[in-house]
Amino acid sequence: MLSNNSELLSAAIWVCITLLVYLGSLLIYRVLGSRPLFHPMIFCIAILAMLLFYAGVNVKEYQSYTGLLSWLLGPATVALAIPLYTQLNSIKKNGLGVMLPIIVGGALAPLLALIGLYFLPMEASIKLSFLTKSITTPLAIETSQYIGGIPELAVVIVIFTGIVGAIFAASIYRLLGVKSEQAQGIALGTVAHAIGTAQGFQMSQKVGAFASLGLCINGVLTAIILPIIFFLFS
Amino acid sequence: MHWFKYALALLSLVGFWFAGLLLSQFIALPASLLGLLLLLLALMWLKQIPSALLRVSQFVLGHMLVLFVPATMGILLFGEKLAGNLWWLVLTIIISTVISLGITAWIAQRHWQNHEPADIPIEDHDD
Repeated sequence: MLSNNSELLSAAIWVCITLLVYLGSLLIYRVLGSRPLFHPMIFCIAILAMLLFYAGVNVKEYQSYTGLLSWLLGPATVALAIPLYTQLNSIKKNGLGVMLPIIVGGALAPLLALIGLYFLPMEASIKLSFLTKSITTPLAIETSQYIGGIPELAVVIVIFTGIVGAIFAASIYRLLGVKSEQAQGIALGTVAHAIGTAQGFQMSQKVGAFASLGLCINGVLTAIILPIIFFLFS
Repeated sequence: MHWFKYALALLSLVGFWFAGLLLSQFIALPASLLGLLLLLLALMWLKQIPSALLRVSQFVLGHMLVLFVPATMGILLFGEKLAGNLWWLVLTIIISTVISLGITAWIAQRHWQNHEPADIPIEDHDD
Protein backbone atom coordinates (compact mmCIF):
# COMPACT_ATOMS: atom_id res chain seq x y z
CA MET A 1 0.00 0.00 0.00
CA LEU A 2 2.66 2.50 1.07
CA SER A 3 4.96 2.31 -1.90
CA ASN A 4 7.23 5.35 -1.64
CA ASN A 5 8.60 7.99 0.67
CA SER A 6 5.91 10.59 0.06
CA GLU A 7 3.21 8.08 0.97
CA LEU A 8 5.11 7.10 4.08
CA LEU A 9 5.28 10.78 5.01
CA SER A 10 1.54 11.16 4.40
CA ALA A 11 0.94 8.16 6.63
CA ALA A 12 3.05 9.64 9.44
CA ILE A 13 1.29 13.01 9.09
CA TRP A 14 -2.24 11.57 9.12
CA VAL A 15 -1.50 9.32 12.09
CA CYS A 16 -0.23 12.40 13.99
CA ILE A 17 -3.24 14.47 12.91
CA THR A 18 -5.57 11.69 14.07
CA LEU A 19 -3.86 11.54 17.47
CA LEU A 20 -4.08 15.33 17.84
CA VAL A 21 -7.74 15.44 16.80
CA TYR A 22 -8.45 12.64 19.28
CA LEU A 23 -6.78 14.55 22.12
CA GLY A 24 -8.63 17.71 21.11
CA SER A 25 -11.97 15.88 21.05
CA LEU A 26 -11.25 14.40 24.47
CA LEU A 27 -10.55 17.91 25.76
CA ILE A 28 -13.81 19.30 24.31
CA TYR A 29 -15.72 16.38 25.87
CA ARG A 30 -14.19 17.02 29.31
CA VAL A 31 -14.73 20.79 29.08
CA LEU A 32 -18.41 20.18 28.27
CA GLY A 33 -18.77 18.13 31.45
CA SER A 34 -18.17 14.56 30.17
CA ARG A 35 -21.78 14.13 29.08
CA PRO A 36 -22.62 11.09 26.91
CA LEU A 37 -24.33 13.38 24.39
CA PHE A 38 -20.95 14.98 23.61
CA HIS A 39 -19.07 11.73 23.03
CA PRO A 40 -15.52 12.48 21.77
CA MET A 41 -16.07 10.35 18.66
CA ILE A 42 -18.65 12.87 17.39
CA PHE A 43 -16.06 15.67 17.43
CA CYS A 44 -13.40 13.36 15.96
CA ILE A 45 -15.55 12.54 12.93
CA ALA A 46 -16.61 16.15 12.38
CA ILE A 47 -13.11 17.64 12.65
CA LEU A 48 -11.41 14.95 10.57
CA ALA A 49 -14.11 15.15 7.89
CA MET A 50 -13.39 18.87 7.57
CA LEU A 51 -9.62 18.34 7.47
CA LEU A 52 -9.93 15.62 4.82
CA PHE A 53 -12.16 17.86 2.75
CA TYR A 54 -9.72 20.79 2.85
CA ALA A 55 -6.69 18.54 2.23
CA GLY A 56 -8.40 16.89 -0.72
CA VAL A 57 -7.81 13.42 0.69
CA ASN A 58 -10.59 10.87 0.33
CA VAL A 59 -11.69 8.50 3.07
CA LYS A 60 -10.17 5.39 1.46
CA GLU A 61 -6.76 7.12 1.20
CA TYR A 62 -7.07 8.29 4.80
CA GLN A 63 -7.82 4.75 5.94
CA SER A 64 -4.79 3.34 4.14
CA TYR A 65 -2.55 6.11 5.60
CA THR A 66 -3.75 5.34 9.13
CA GLY A 67 -3.54 1.56 8.71
CA LEU A 68 -1.14 1.41 11.66
CA LEU A 69 -3.87 2.57 14.07
CA SER A 70 -6.37 0.04 12.73
CA TRP A 71 -3.79 -2.71 13.00
CA LEU A 72 -3.09 -1.85 16.66
CA LEU A 73 -6.77 -2.40 17.41
CA GLY A 74 -6.14 -6.18 17.27
CA PRO A 75 -3.58 -6.34 20.11
CA ALA A 76 -5.58 -3.70 22.04
CA THR A 77 -8.70 -5.89 21.91
CA VAL A 78 -6.70 -8.73 23.44
CA ALA A 79 -6.17 -6.46 26.48
CA LEU A 80 -9.90 -6.85 27.29
CA ALA A 81 -8.87 -10.19 28.81
CA ILE A 82 -7.59 -8.29 31.86
CA PRO A 83 -10.91 -6.73 33.00
CA LEU A 84 -12.63 -9.99 32.05
CA TYR A 85 -10.25 -11.94 34.30
CA THR A 86 -11.00 -9.54 37.16
CA GLN A 87 -14.73 -10.13 36.64
CA LEU A 88 -14.37 -13.93 36.62
CA ASN A 89 -13.85 -13.80 40.37
CA SER A 90 -17.18 -12.03 40.86
CA ILE A 91 -18.92 -14.73 38.82
CA LYS A 92 -17.26 -17.37 40.99
CA LYS A 93 -18.45 -15.52 44.07
CA ASN A 94 -22.03 -15.00 42.85
CA GLY A 95 -22.57 -18.19 40.87
CA LEU A 96 -23.76 -18.48 37.32
CA GLY A 97 -27.09 -16.91 38.31
CA VAL A 98 -25.46 -13.51 37.83
CA MET A 99 -25.31 -14.34 34.11
CA LEU A 100 -29.07 -14.66 33.52
CA PRO A 101 -29.90 -10.94 33.12
CA ILE A 102 -26.78 -10.48 30.96
CA ILE A 103 -27.86 -13.25 28.61
CA VAL A 104 -31.41 -11.88 28.42
CA GLY A 105 -30.21 -8.35 27.71
CA GLY A 106 -27.52 -9.50 25.31
CA ALA A 107 -30.06 -11.41 23.21
CA LEU A 108 -32.88 -8.89 23.48
CA ALA A 109 -31.02 -5.81 22.21
CA PRO A 110 -29.98 -7.18 18.78
CA LEU A 111 -33.27 -9.08 18.32
CA LEU A 112 -35.39 -5.96 18.90
CA ALA A 113 -33.23 -3.99 16.46
CA LEU A 114 -33.60 -6.74 13.87
CA ILE A 115 -37.38 -6.76 14.28
CA GLY A 116 -37.42 -2.99 13.83
CA LEU A 117 -35.51 -3.29 10.55
CA TYR A 118 -37.13 -6.44 9.22
CA PHE A 119 -39.41 -4.79 6.68
CA LEU A 120 -37.02 -2.08 5.56
CA PRO A 121 -35.93 -2.46 1.93
CA MET A 122 -32.20 -2.48 2.65
CA GLU A 123 -29.23 -4.70 1.99
CA ALA A 124 -28.72 -7.56 4.43
CA SER A 125 -25.21 -6.30 5.27
CA ILE A 126 -26.67 -3.08 6.72
CA LYS A 127 -29.17 -5.02 8.86
CA LEU A 128 -26.47 -7.44 10.05
CA SER A 129 -24.40 -4.47 11.24
CA PHE A 130 -27.05 -3.90 13.93
CA LEU A 131 -26.49 -7.29 15.57
CA THR A 132 -23.37 -6.13 17.39
CA LYS A 133 -24.97 -2.90 18.63
CA SER A 134 -24.65 -3.62 22.33
CA ILE A 135 -21.10 -4.95 22.54
CA THR A 136 -17.89 -3.03 23.05
CA THR A 137 -16.59 -1.42 19.83
CA PRO A 138 -13.38 -3.45 19.24
CA LEU A 139 -15.24 -6.74 19.47
CA ALA A 140 -18.11 -5.33 17.39
CA ILE A 141 -15.79 -4.34 14.51
CA GLU A 142 -14.36 -7.82 14.09
CA THR A 143 -17.56 -9.70 14.82
CA SER A 144 -19.58 -7.69 12.31
CA GLN A 145 -16.92 -8.37 9.68
CA TYR A 146 -17.25 -12.04 10.46
CA ILE A 147 -21.01 -12.23 10.08
CA GLY A 148 -21.18 -10.20 6.86
CA GLY A 149 -21.96 -6.80 8.38
CA ILE A 150 -20.23 -3.47 7.66
CA PRO A 151 -17.62 -2.65 10.34
CA GLU A 152 -17.74 1.12 9.65
CA LEU A 153 -21.47 1.13 10.20
CA ALA A 154 -21.21 -1.20 13.20
CA VAL A 155 -18.90 1.28 15.00
CA VAL A 156 -21.33 4.14 14.56
CA ILE A 157 -24.30 2.01 15.65
CA VAL A 158 -22.41 0.79 18.73
CA ILE A 159 -21.44 4.29 19.82
CA PHE A 160 -24.92 5.70 19.19
CA THR A 161 -26.45 2.81 21.18
CA GLY A 162 -24.09 3.57 24.07
CA ILE A 163 -25.01 7.26 24.02
CA VAL A 164 -28.76 6.49 23.97
CA GLY A 165 -28.41 3.99 26.83
CA ALA A 166 -26.35 6.37 28.94
CA ILE A 167 -28.76 9.28 28.41
CA PHE A 168 -32.01 7.38 29.10
CA ALA A 169 -30.90 4.91 31.81
CA ALA A 170 -31.80 7.02 34.86
CA SER A 171 -35.31 7.89 33.59
CA ILE A 172 -36.11 4.29 32.58
CA TYR A 173 -35.04 3.00 35.98
CA ARG A 174 -37.21 5.60 37.70
CA LEU A 175 -40.17 4.73 35.45
CA LEU A 176 -39.90 0.98 36.09
CA GLY A 177 -38.97 1.34 39.76
CA VAL A 178 -35.60 -0.39 39.41
CA LYS A 179 -33.84 0.63 42.61
CA SER A 180 -31.26 -2.14 42.96
CA GLU A 181 -27.87 -0.71 42.05
CA GLN A 182 -26.67 -4.12 40.91
CA ALA A 183 -29.58 -4.41 38.47
CA GLN A 184 -29.04 -0.86 37.19
CA GLY A 185 -25.36 -1.58 36.55
CA ILE A 186 -25.80 -4.97 34.88
CA ALA A 187 -28.36 -3.55 32.44
CA LEU A 188 -26.23 -0.50 31.59
CA GLY A 189 -23.10 -2.54 30.86
CA THR A 190 -24.94 -5.27 28.96
CA VAL A 191 -26.97 -2.99 26.71
CA ALA A 192 -24.81 0.14 26.47
CA HIS A 193 -21.27 -1.34 26.77
CA ALA A 194 -18.39 1.00 27.71
CA ILE A 195 -20.30 4.27 27.30
CA GLY A 196 -23.03 2.89 29.59
CA THR A 197 -20.36 1.70 32.01
CA ALA A 198 -18.78 5.16 32.16
CA GLN A 199 -22.26 6.55 32.92
CA GLY A 200 -22.68 3.83 35.57
CA PHE A 201 -19.55 5.02 37.37
CA GLN A 202 -21.04 8.52 37.43
CA MET A 203 -24.16 7.11 39.15
CA SER A 204 -22.14 5.21 41.78
CA GLN A 205 -19.11 2.95 42.13
CA LYS A 206 -21.38 -0.07 42.64
CA VAL A 207 -23.43 0.61 39.50
CA GLY A 208 -20.18 1.05 37.57
CA ALA A 209 -18.65 -2.19 38.85
CA PHE A 210 -21.70 -4.21 37.84
CA ALA A 211 -21.81 -2.42 34.49
CA SER A 212 -18.21 -3.61 33.88
CA LEU A 213 -19.38 -7.16 34.53
CA GLY A 214 -22.21 -6.83 31.99
CA LEU A 215 -19.90 -5.19 29.46
CA CYS A 216 -17.25 -7.93 29.66
CA ILE A 217 -19.55 -10.94 29.71
CA ASN A 218 -21.96 -9.76 27.02
CA GLY A 219 -19.11 -8.59 24.77
CA VAL A 220 -17.35 -11.92 24.81
CA LEU A 221 -20.51 -14.06 24.72
CA THR A 222 -21.95 -12.16 21.75
CA ALA A 223 -18.61 -12.25 19.91
CA ILE A 224 -18.47 -16.03 20.38
CA ILE A 225 -22.13 -16.84 19.70
CA LEU A 226 -22.83 -14.68 16.61
CA PRO A 227 -20.03 -16.15 14.41
CA ILE A 228 -21.03 -19.67 15.46
CA ILE A 229 -24.67 -19.03 14.50
CA PHE A 230 -23.57 -17.68 11.13
CA PHE A 231 -21.12 -20.53 10.64
CA LEU A 232 -23.93 -23.04 11.21
CA PHE A 233 -26.48 -21.33 8.95
CA SER A 234 -24.30 -20.30 6.04
CA MET B 1 14.10 -0.86 33.75
CA HIS B 2 10.39 0.01 33.94
CA TRP B 3 10.14 0.84 30.28
CA PHE B 4 11.49 -2.63 29.49
CA LYS B 5 8.72 -4.31 31.48
CA TYR B 6 6.08 -2.15 29.78
CA ALA B 7 7.53 -2.89 26.34
CA LEU B 8 7.44 -6.59 27.18
CA ALA B 9 3.81 -6.33 28.32
CA LEU B 10 2.89 -4.55 25.09
CA LEU B 11 4.75 -7.18 23.06
CA SER B 12 2.91 -9.94 24.89
CA LEU B 13 -0.41 -8.38 23.82
CA VAL B 14 0.82 -8.43 20.22
CA GLY B 15 2.05 -12.00 20.72
CA PHE B 16 -1.33 -13.21 22.02
CA TRP B 17 -3.06 -11.43 19.15
CA PHE B 18 -0.74 -13.19 16.71
CA ALA B 19 -1.43 -16.55 18.37
CA GLY B 20 -5.14 -15.76 17.97
CA LEU B 21 -4.53 -15.01 14.30
CA LEU B 22 -2.90 -18.42 13.81
CA LEU B 23 -5.66 -20.15 15.73
CA SER B 24 -8.33 -18.40 13.63
CA GLN B 25 -7.17 -20.49 10.66
CA PHE B 26 -8.66 -23.50 12.46
CA ILE B 27 -11.48 -22.03 14.55
CA ALA B 28 -14.17 -19.90 12.91
CA LEU B 29 -13.93 -17.01 15.40
CA PRO B 30 -12.39 -13.52 15.08
CA ALA B 31 -8.60 -13.44 15.67
CA SER B 32 -8.67 -10.78 18.44
CA LEU B 33 -11.36 -12.68 20.32
CA LEU B 34 -9.25 -15.85 20.20
CA GLY B 35 -6.21 -13.86 21.36
CA LEU B 36 -8.33 -12.45 24.20
CA LEU B 37 -9.44 -15.93 25.26
CA LEU B 38 -5.85 -17.25 25.10
CA LEU B 39 -4.65 -14.41 27.33
CA LEU B 40 -7.56 -15.11 29.69
CA LEU B 41 -6.47 -18.76 29.93
CA ALA B 42 -2.89 -17.65 30.58
CA LEU B 43 -4.08 -15.34 33.40
CA MET B 44 -6.18 -18.14 34.92
CA TRP B 45 -3.09 -20.32 34.84
CA LEU B 46 -0.94 -17.56 36.40
CA LYS B 47 -3.74 -16.81 38.93
CA GLN B 48 -2.75 -13.11 38.90
CA ILE B 49 -2.26 -10.16 36.57
CA PRO B 50 1.41 -9.08 36.13
CA SER B 51 1.60 -5.45 37.28
CA ALA B 52 3.22 -4.15 34.07
CA LEU B 53 0.51 -5.86 32.00
CA LEU B 54 -2.17 -4.29 34.19
CA ARG B 55 -0.74 -0.77 33.71
CA VAL B 56 -0.25 -1.20 29.99
CA SER B 57 -3.72 -2.63 29.45
CA GLN B 58 -5.37 0.14 31.47
CA PHE B 59 -3.64 2.71 29.27
CA VAL B 60 -4.47 0.88 26.05
CA LEU B 61 -8.12 0.27 26.96
CA GLY B 62 -8.52 3.85 28.19
CA HIS B 63 -7.41 5.30 24.87
CA MET B 64 -8.73 2.63 22.55
CA LEU B 65 -11.15 5.11 20.97
CA VAL B 66 -8.40 6.59 18.82
CA LEU B 67 -7.73 3.18 17.28
CA PHE B 68 -11.17 2.95 15.74
CA VAL B 69 -11.26 6.47 14.40
CA PRO B 70 -10.03 5.35 10.91
CA ALA B 71 -12.72 2.65 10.69
CA THR B 72 -15.41 5.06 11.87
CA MET B 73 -14.50 7.62 9.20
CA GLY B 74 -15.71 5.00 6.70
CA ILE B 75 -19.25 5.97 7.67
CA LEU B 76 -18.85 9.00 5.37
CA LEU B 77 -18.89 6.54 2.44
CA PHE B 78 -22.28 5.18 3.48
CA GLY B 79 -24.11 8.49 3.75
CA GLU B 80 -26.12 8.05 0.55
CA LYS B 81 -27.08 4.46 1.28
CA LEU B 82 -28.41 5.35 4.70
CA ALA B 83 -29.91 8.76 4.03
CA GLY B 84 -33.30 7.48 2.83
CA ASN B 85 -33.97 5.47 5.97
CA LEU B 86 -31.91 7.46 8.44
CA TRP B 87 -34.74 8.41 10.79
CA TRP B 88 -36.08 4.89 10.90
CA LEU B 89 -32.60 3.56 11.71
CA VAL B 90 -32.09 6.13 14.47
CA LEU B 91 -35.54 5.39 15.91
CA THR B 92 -34.86 1.63 15.82
CA ILE B 93 -31.67 2.06 17.82
CA ILE B 94 -33.31 4.35 20.37
CA ILE B 95 -36.38 2.15 20.91
CA SER B 96 -34.53 -1.19 20.98
CA THR B 97 -31.92 0.19 23.37
CA VAL B 98 -34.43 1.76 25.75
CA ILE B 99 -36.65 -1.35 25.85
CA SER B 100 -33.77 -3.79 26.38
CA LEU B 101 -32.26 -1.57 29.06
CA GLY B 102 -35.58 -1.48 30.93
CA ILE B 103 -36.35 -5.20 30.62
CA THR B 104 -32.80 -6.27 31.54
CA ALA B 105 -32.74 -4.09 34.66
CA TRP B 106 -36.24 -5.21 35.67
CA ILE B 107 -35.39 -8.90 35.24
CA ALA B 108 -32.12 -8.45 37.13
CA GLN B 109 -33.96 -6.83 40.03
CA ARG B 110 -36.59 -9.62 40.16
CA HIS B 111 -33.93 -12.30 39.78
CA TRP B 112 -31.93 -10.95 42.72
CA GLN B 113 -34.90 -10.04 44.91
CA ASN B 114 -34.11 -12.65 47.54
CA HIS B 115 -30.33 -12.66 47.48
CA GLU B 116 -28.40 -9.68 46.23
CA PRO B 117 -25.13 -10.51 44.51
CA ALA B 118 -21.99 -9.86 46.51
CA ASP B 119 -19.96 -6.76 45.79
CA ILE B 120 -17.51 -7.08 42.97
CA PRO B 121 -14.13 -5.49 42.24
CA ILE B 122 -14.13 -2.08 40.63
CA GLU B 123 -12.73 -1.87 37.15
CA ASP B 124 -12.83 1.34 35.16
CA HIS B 125 -12.19 1.69 31.49
CA ASP B 126 -13.96 3.55 28.72
CA ASP B 127 -13.96 3.67 24.95
